[in-house]
Amino acid sequence: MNIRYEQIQGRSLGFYTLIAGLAILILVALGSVYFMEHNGHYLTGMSNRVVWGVPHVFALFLIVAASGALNIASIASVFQKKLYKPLSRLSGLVSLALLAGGLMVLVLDLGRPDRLIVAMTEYNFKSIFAWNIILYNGFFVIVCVYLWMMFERRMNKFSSKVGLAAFTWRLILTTGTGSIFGFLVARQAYDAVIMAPMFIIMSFAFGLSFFILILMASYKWSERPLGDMIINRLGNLLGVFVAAVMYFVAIKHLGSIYLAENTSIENFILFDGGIYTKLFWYGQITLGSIIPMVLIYHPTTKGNRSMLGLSSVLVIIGGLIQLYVIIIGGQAYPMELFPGKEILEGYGGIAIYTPSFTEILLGIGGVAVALIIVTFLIKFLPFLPDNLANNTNVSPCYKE
Amino acid sequence: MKREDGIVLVDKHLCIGCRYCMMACPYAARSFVHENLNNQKEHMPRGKGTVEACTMCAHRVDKGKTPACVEAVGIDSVIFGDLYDVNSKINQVLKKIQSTQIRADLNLNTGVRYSGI
Repeated sequence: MNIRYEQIQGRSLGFYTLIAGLAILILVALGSVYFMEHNGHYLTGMSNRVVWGVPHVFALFLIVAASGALNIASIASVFQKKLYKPLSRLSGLVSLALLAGGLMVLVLDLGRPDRLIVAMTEYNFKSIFAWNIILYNGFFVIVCVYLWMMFERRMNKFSSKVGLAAFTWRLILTTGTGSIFGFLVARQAYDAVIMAPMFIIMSFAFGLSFFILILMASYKWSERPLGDMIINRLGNLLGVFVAAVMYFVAIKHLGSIYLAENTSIENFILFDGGIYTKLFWYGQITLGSIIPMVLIYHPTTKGNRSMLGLSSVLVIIGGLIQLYVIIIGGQAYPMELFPGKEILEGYGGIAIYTPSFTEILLGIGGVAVALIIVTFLIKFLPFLPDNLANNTNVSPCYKE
Repeated sequence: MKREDGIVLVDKHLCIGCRYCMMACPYAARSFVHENLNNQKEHMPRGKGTVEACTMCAHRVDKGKTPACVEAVGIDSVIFGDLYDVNSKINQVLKKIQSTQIRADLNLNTGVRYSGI
């Protein structure tokens, strides 16, 4: 069966309004970067105690989501599920766009973003952070080749092999991203190998949420048919991923509580950490996990597109909150500098962090970059099938 | 970068200001230059947007002097020298006085030792 891919027209007022809106967000982000770099990072909420702030929350969220957005293509090419095949090109595109947005935020928050070339040429292979630079660049190359295999008819026969390579690379990439935290042995909040698989499962949920929203929006706005079969399948998949994230979060905290040395940091995050505790229970768990799962599985809302869209938005918000709790909460709690001793004064309190507007605007700019890339490229290249109605596809159980 | 004598310095020309070293440092010993700089010292210029830490006054050590804090304290509360030189004062003192490293549990074999904590 042939799938017909076609560019969107992209001549409507809505299209130009979207582009203009995103462009403004990006310009505002660049302006705040200029302000921040010109005056120095003291303008932000970051300090020598909380060294990574909101930019890192957005950057890591987008990077993690990027690797997850590729899953749809992987399900088609690696696991041979034909239902997902028409979505593969978009999956690759969303993945590249999210990665570009995330990396932009990460790079523009550097103390010396002008030295990016140094980061690309001088490697300290003992640092997982350096390894990640190679993993990100490699991901760009592999996914671009993968898209080429999918676009070029003569190359189609290689697409499943390149798809397997991309799938393997993305697993290694998210392992690397999770290990950025997992390898921080001195910080009680991070030092745990479970960070790597937890980040992988987080990527599944965050990436799929973005993909669902972009898919539904682009089909609605370009007035192309989008069948319930695909949407319901993606919704079910999202529910399973959200549940899996909750499982990993539970295991991470339970495993950490069991170690007596981590009791205090776990108490801080789960019970008496003020804003971080509230964000964890109300934001990450209730808003970002339980409500989306109820919306996806409850008989009254099941199969409702608006509710699936809302669930995806909530998973994204919950994911950002989860990274906020991990990154900022983990740093706010003091490191154990003198195990077994009590610190009477000096280092040792809970660090205060108040995110500044410049940081938040930079983070939002990263999301805008990802969305503008998708919006432009679906206009200029045939990423979207012209018809995704139920009857245009064979049974979801059918294997190629 | 680690010098021959063991002093670790941040290469201010290579540092991109990512601050991952600050995330990883078990001693909270590093700091980031958050603000514009003026009145820079010729012997040890700093860099806005890069990370820095105690340099053990490498510029003084290179001239055969001791770090400024050692000189300022005067008495033997702070001793500076070559840990591996059996004739050095620090080596002799560490043989007599019980000392420890911060976060000794991490097995990082740091060059700074404390006694009385």
